[in-house]
Amino acid sequence: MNKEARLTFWGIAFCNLKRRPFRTACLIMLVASLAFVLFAGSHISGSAANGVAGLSKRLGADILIVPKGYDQKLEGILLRGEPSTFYMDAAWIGKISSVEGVESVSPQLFVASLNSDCCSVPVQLIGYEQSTDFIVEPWIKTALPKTLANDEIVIGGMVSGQAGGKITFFDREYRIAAKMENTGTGFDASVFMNMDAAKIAASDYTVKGGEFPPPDGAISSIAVTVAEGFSANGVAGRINNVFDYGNSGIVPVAAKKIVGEVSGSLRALTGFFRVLSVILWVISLLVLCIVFSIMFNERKREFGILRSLGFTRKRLAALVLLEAGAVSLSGGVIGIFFSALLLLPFQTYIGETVNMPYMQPSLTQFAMTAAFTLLLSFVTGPLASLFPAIKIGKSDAYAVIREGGL
Amino acid sequence: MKNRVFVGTGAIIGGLLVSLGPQFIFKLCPPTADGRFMRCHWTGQAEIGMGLLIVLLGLGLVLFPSYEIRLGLSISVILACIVALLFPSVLIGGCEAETMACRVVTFPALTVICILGIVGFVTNALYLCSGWQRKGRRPY
Repeated sequence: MNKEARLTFWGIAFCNLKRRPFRTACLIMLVASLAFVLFAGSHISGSAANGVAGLSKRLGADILIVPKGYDQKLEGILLRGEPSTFYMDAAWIGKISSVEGVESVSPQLFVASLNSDCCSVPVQLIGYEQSTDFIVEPWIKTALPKTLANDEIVIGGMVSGQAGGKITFFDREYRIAAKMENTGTGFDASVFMNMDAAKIAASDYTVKGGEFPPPDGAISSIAVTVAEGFSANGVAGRINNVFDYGNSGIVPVAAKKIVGEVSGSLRALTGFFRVLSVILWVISLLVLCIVFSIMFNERKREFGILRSLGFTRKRLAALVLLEAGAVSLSGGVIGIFFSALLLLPFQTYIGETVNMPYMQPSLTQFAMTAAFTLLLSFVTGPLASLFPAIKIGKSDAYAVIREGGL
Repeated sequence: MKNRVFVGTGAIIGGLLVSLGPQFIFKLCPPTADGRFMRCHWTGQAEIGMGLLIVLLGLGLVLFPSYEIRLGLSISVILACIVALLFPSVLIGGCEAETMACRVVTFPALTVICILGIVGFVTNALYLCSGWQRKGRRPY
């Protein structure tokens, strides 16, 4: 026995959308593109904001002193993990600590690895003085509660290898004592070792890389914390004055300046996505408004018949809103799906492209962004069809049928 | 006819991207300085075979009008896409460092193509089932 299909309220809305597949698909695509841009923009801005927050948290120094001309290289190391090798005289440690307003100093030595067996790209080796360090040690301690031996290293979250494994740099084998969690900064692609091990790596670097050997006791940078009551900019200016900025061969870089520059880029990026989202939302709303008005105007006869069959005005208005809601909900889901499909696998590539610290948001943040995007996409359709829905709801059955040409 | 050409061409393009993409478009990591291939190279080799299989299945989708055969081919494409997705993530893998070319570009591109393939061909299989029912035949 054939079971007859019963036409429900939802069924009518679905059949109406199905009857015009091309128009429905175009409307869904429009909302999907809005959801795509909104979700992608929020996700990328959120990830960059996480990265900048991670950088401010990890950068324990107020001032970083590097050889003159290497301040950009320092930013490359901190923000993007771009490997560099540069040296300055270790005598600067004593000179800097004698400047008024300087509370503590700690040297670092940067050595760029050559291609190793683990990776076809060089990584940044960072040597730090364990007795005076206040930058690396505080957050390495969570993964490694002991000091590092000369053949031990701690690797960033994006460097290959696991704790307990071995890794070779310049034909010398190191034991991986710990692996850090991702921070979204250049430290993720760096390898940390004690100062003695870094000096050995630096001399290996000169032999293998055919470079000039570093001067005895060379370091690459000095991290400085400022005493209470002094500002980082003030102390940086004092260092310039005391050591004759033009001829000293060093440059003090205020950490806030690096974070500030990155925050500026982040504001620009967020602003761009916000403006783009607002423009797209307004365009979607206007287009949907026009399309729904034309569409419902064409269907006056149908609405008149439904009214004469017993549909109340409220129910008719609800049918119009349901159709619009179904279009925008489908568009929202499709837009978010495609956006997530591109953003999640390509996160490292996007992080490299935006050129700033980049860290994927947590699952909760991700779900909240998706929910917000879906909500905004969903309201677009019913909002655009509100005017025709009210208009249809107000007109009486006879007038609607007559206008419809029945 | 339209469905056959559209879906079949999609599978052929997807298969070509899976097999040739890692070699020419979204390239894998180059060999090391001493000429050794890294692990991702073997994933690329496996993807050549799997991609060509998807191309052949796509040709079948274009050529065969029968609903039953097209449904079978669509399910085969879904399975081939799942295996192609598992090569870089589980079955063979790639370089460990997240900053390597294979992890930054090649594997994400393969993931996107394979997931699109799975979603597309699941939809196509459901469409074929519903078409089958419309024509008064039982799907099973």
